[in-house]
Amino acid sequence: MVRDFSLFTSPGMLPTANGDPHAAVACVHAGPPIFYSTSNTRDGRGTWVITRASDQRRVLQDTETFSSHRSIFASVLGESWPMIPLELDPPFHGVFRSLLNPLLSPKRVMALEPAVRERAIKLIDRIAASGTSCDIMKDFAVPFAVNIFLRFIGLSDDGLETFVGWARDLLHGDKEQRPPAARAIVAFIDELATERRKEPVDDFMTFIVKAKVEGRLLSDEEVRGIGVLVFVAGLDTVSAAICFDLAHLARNPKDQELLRSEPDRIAVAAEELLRAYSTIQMIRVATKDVDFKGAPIRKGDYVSCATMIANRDPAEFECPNEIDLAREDNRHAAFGYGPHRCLGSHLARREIVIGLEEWLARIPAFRIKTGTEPITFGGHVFGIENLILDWS
Amino acid sequence: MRVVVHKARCQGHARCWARAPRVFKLDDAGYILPGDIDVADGEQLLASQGVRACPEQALEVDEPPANSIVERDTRKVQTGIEKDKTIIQFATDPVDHAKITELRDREAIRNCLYRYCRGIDRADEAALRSAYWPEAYDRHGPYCGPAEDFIQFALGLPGHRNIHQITNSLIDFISSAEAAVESYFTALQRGPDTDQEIRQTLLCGRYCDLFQKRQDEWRIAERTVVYDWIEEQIPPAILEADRFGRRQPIGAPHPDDPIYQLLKGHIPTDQDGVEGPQLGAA
Repeated sequence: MVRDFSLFTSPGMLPTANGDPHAAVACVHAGPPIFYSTSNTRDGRGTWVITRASDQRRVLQDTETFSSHRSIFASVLGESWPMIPLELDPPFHGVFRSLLNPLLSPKRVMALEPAVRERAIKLIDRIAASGTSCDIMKDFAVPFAVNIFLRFIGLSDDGLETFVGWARDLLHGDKEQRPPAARAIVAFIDELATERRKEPVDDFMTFIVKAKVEGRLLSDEEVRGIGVLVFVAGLDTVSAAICFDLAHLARNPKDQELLRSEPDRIAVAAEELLRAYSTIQMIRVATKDVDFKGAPIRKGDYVSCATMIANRDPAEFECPNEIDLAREDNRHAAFGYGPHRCLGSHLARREIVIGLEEWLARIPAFRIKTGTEPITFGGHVFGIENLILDWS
Repeated sequence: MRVVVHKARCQGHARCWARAPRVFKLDDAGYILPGDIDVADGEQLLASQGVRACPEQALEVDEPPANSIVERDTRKVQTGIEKDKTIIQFATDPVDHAKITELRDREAIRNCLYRYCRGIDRADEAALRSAYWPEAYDRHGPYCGPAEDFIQFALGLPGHRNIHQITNSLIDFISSAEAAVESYFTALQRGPDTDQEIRQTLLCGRYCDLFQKRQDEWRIAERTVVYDWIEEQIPPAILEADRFGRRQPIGAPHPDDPIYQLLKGHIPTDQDGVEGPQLGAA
């Protein structure tokens, strides 16, 4: 029941030149549907690992048995307040979720689309004008995704570098780097909330400080819980997804040419890329002893639902390790299952699709620059860095 | 077609809406509106794709009609991005695709009905057997029991001259893999009775068949023969060969009938008779 597996330390999970961490984790499907990993969190805790998509769906839908309240952020500071709504369980979760849902609904995202496209075009035109190669993360993915996100919560680009630095230290840093990053983010959110209370403007934080749930204004801790979650969630994931996608297209010229010549296929292709290169591991805490397919899960145990594992499940996806940009019936787990389904999923999808559309329309056939090697890594959030594309 | 909405399971992924926005309506928060959905004709394929796109499995098709089921081999064409572009465009047209599947199902059912007629009229065991699923049941006038026994009974009637014709067929799909089929028949039958007297009968009626599709093949699972007309005729006293005169050749049992010359090389050697009769009737 115990297996030598960890999203942090198994082969292919540490920073690897030209790595393929998604293929590396897919090997768990040769084994049982559930097993125990003795070290599968950032701080080295053990978790049960759920490998099958159908079982992850069951776990993530059953919030009574598998709670998401574990103060993953606050614990870095030795505190225990929840990020909201992620770390609240129903029914209280629903109160906050209903408050936030309309802000990132499919309809609202459609309204944001022109601004997203304009930003993509501006960045890519600048890249195309300045040469025939670029660092995708630094020159495109981050300034694109983070700008959209900052605009959404009502911040200017000025702090972009600083914010991205905080997020990187928090999500990928070590024991020394994480607490200062967490403190900086909390201080920033608290200060922003204070400012918006004093001088309301038309932005996300103003909406939060003025919002009411159950007939009352939100407490400071609730405002902070929401602000921190949105801040952390928006800074890293979309840019990582765009990088993985462009790396795939750089390495697979046929796929690249197909999408360039038939851009109508990009929306469906983006779903397949989300499936194949999903980045998030979700963890739940058992609220009681429960027998799960023969595994004795005990109250308080961590249960890992890694999207990148569910999305390579052969029982859910035909030939899961083949990347078929026209794949049908692609109900992948990249944004999770259950009530905590990624609140920003609709915006993230549109950013990815628009980013790919404009990139392929403006940049000719590209490849990974000779002599450079992208570095991939596993962990709570999978990533890829040093992706240098070349179209000379 | 009807889509059952398990509203409580919806988590706002909106994948159904992305696939078929005219079928699946969302509220302002991006979650599906409550209530089951009656899907309009022409939207059925998109609707079933929307159902299958739901990560939470919050949607369910209530009794999918045959024409909304995308067959595997056709779907390969649709997703095969390397394939010829014209084919892809053709196959991704939802209306055409649903229609093609339905037409294929209907034609396969008709084909099976015709195989039965060849089987009976030519005493062609393979053709007759290929019309029924192995455990099929047949309520066939004086005979009532497993179709296998009926086949043995029908093949054991030497010296018979039968002409079975299928006319009106109404095919109603119960699900993607079952159909209720009513087929009018006209049967001219002549042969020795139990007392060795030659009798000639005109029979009309209807085959009421439950058809089932298994691994892409349609066959009869249950048959009830309903009789609507019977006419005892006076059998001619002269031999067939004399009556037909120069009108040759005269129909004969398997394998002597001229049709089997035509089919030569296409008839399977195994006892299933699956491929041969299909080709023969096509």
